[in-house]
Amino acid sequence: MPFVEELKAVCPACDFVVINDCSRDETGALCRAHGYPTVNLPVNLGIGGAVQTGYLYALENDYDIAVQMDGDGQHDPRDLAALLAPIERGEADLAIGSRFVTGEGFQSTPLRRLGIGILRGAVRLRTRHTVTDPTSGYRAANRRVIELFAHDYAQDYPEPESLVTALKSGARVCDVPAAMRARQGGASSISEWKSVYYMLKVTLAVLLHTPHAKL
Amino acid sequence: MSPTLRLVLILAMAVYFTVLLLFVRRRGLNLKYFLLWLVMGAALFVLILFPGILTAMAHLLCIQSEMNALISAVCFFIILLEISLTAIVSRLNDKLTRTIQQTALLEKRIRALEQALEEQERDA
Repeated sequence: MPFVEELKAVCPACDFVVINDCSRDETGALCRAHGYPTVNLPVNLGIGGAVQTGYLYALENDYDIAVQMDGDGQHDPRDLAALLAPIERGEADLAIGSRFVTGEGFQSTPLRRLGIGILRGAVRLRTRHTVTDPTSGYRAANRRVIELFAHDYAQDYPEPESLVTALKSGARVCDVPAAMRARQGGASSISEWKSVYYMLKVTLAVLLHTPHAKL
Repeated sequence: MSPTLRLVLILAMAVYFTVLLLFVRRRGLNLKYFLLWLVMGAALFVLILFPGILTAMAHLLCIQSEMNALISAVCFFIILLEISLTAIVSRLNDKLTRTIQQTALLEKRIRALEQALEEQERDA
């Protein structure tokens, strides 16, 4: 897993944990072999449940800041400092790494950019707040948002909806430029024919957003 | 509604309530979900016992026969039940997710403890 090594090299002071959502490739074995701290979900939960596990972990272990990164190398650890800065300065509760602020790096396909544009509009309509890349899964959260996400995080395709969760609860959200890379390995969870369902579901989720059932 | 039909419907309702009771007592149907079915059964029972309601309903909505009105009412109740079932499943899903997450986190803590223990034993 070159990505984890990269992270350790760039940011040796940070603690990290790998969430293994019942991966069918050799993720679990690799993590064990390298001795990476890993949380192995016994049943596949999907991205929402998996990411939320990370926030739960951060909450239980009393971390002040949690950063969520994809395990496939899309997110560049060198952007970490920029992502953390507004949180550390207390200017924001949630920082979103966005590929569209400077327009550098992997910009995705035109069709996907259109989808992202629609979602951006939906989030703006619902929260009156513009997040340039609402689908970005590269985020840093302070204690307040960690607590919020540990208790209420969207399932299925969670990024845009969880943004609404944060904004509606009064969290301050800011955009930080971050260059996305094409993934190093693995496949997108969103295949071509699923994208219509994805757009419908996520747009509805953003527009109709309600807090999830209290547990 | 013919008297024969009414008799058959009342008998059907008797079977319905018996089966429902059996499920609660023997098959562990939760009381709170039993209430859903009980309310629906009671509503149907009222419609069958007092066919005047059905006649009025059919007349008001220009439905040709009372039986069609009854079937429409049943459909409506079933849809309501389906919605509540979906809500129940959603809630269960949320609870299951949380249980799985906690299991995974606990498993990680156990592994860490075991490792620490091993190291301690090795040092001792």
